[in-house]
Amino acid sequence: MIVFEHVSKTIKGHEILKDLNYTFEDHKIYGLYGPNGSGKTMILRLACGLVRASGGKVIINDGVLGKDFAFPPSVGVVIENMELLPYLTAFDNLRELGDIKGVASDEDIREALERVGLNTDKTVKKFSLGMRQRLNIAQAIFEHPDIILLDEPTNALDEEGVESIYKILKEEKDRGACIIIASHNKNDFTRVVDQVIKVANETMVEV
Amino acid sequence: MKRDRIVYGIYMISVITQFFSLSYSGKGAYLLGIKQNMKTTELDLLFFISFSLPVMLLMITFMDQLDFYLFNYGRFQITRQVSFLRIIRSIEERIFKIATLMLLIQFIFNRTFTREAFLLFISYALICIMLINLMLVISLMMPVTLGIIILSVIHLISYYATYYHKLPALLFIGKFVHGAEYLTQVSPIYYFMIDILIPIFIISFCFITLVVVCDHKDYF
Repeated sequence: MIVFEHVSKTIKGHEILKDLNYTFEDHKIYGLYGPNGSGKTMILRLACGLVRASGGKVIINDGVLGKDFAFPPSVGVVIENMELLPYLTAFDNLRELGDIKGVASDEDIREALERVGLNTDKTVKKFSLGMRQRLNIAQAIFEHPDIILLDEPTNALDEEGVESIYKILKEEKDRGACIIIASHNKNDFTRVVDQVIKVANETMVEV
Repeated sequence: MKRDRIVYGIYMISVITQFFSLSYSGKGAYLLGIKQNMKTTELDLLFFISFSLPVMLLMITFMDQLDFYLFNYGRFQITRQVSFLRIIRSIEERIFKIATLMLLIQFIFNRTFTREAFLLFISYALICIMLINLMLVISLMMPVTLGIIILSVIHLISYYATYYHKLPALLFIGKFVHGAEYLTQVSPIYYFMIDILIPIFIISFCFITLVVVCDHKDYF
């Protein structure tokens, strides 16, 4: 569960988000949409600890982000510009990241790669854009995190790819994860989310 | 990382420029861009290019690595609660490999094989590796404090003082302590001391940048 309590974010005097109050519950998928620069990605960054709120607090389960822990204890993230090591294979990349926390087995990694439809020994530098996106999604789910934050997850994916990602998200939701997806177009996710949220005018509103 | 090929390409050009500069002027060899024969003091264009390009390219490579390991791949790591020191270690290891490679390329172009030059190279490389490792270990062991930043700034100032005075110099309690005069007569040690300050300068610069960037978490 993620709770935003009077959260605001100001960068160089410019208010990006203002007095956000919202609770993202477990077992649910939330879809954020809004025009470019409305603050969708900023909300995801705030939720995963990559940026700190200028005011208010972000609560993850029972702990305050930035006070009780720097980053959420169990989170899978795909945000713009995230890239894996180009000289490793998909499996080796996930193994490398998995070794940090030590919660995922080789079997978990293989299963995640299979779920996103990646079955190759190529190094990441030889991957197409769509394959990289699938790998990023696999990276976000292979440790079975409590929170999954995805920014434009269907970018560069073909129709089949989009369907498989939606299927995965539903499975992760049933497992109990709290999932937030951000996209500039709400048609990208209306079929899969439980709650659509519009981000505009420095705030967010349920639709 | 994306610019690796361009950086290496430009670096090769800079090394070749140095080679021609050396052949043309006949004033001595260059090591990481610093003239070995320090008797002449003029700063001609070729000398300036050969002096600054390798360092600049190493900086560009460093910024590229910093981008990747901190803002691209690093995001995967830090959201898994990796310490910043681990990320810094990844960057420094990578920079160390690149710096070593650049050093080797430089030697291949700028040194004719003589026993003395070869021994000089081996000794220099060993000392460089030892010093860079030492810096790496210190940066990993020490917490990010004002002290370590000041220490790094002292390295930077010392580097410039050395370049300016053409003598090994170290800023110590507000005064420049110069290397003893006899060192200038014992060429290998003297040259080593001059050149060793360059990797230290680079590592110090990298470290200061990393500390500043990592402390400013909103950068992500």
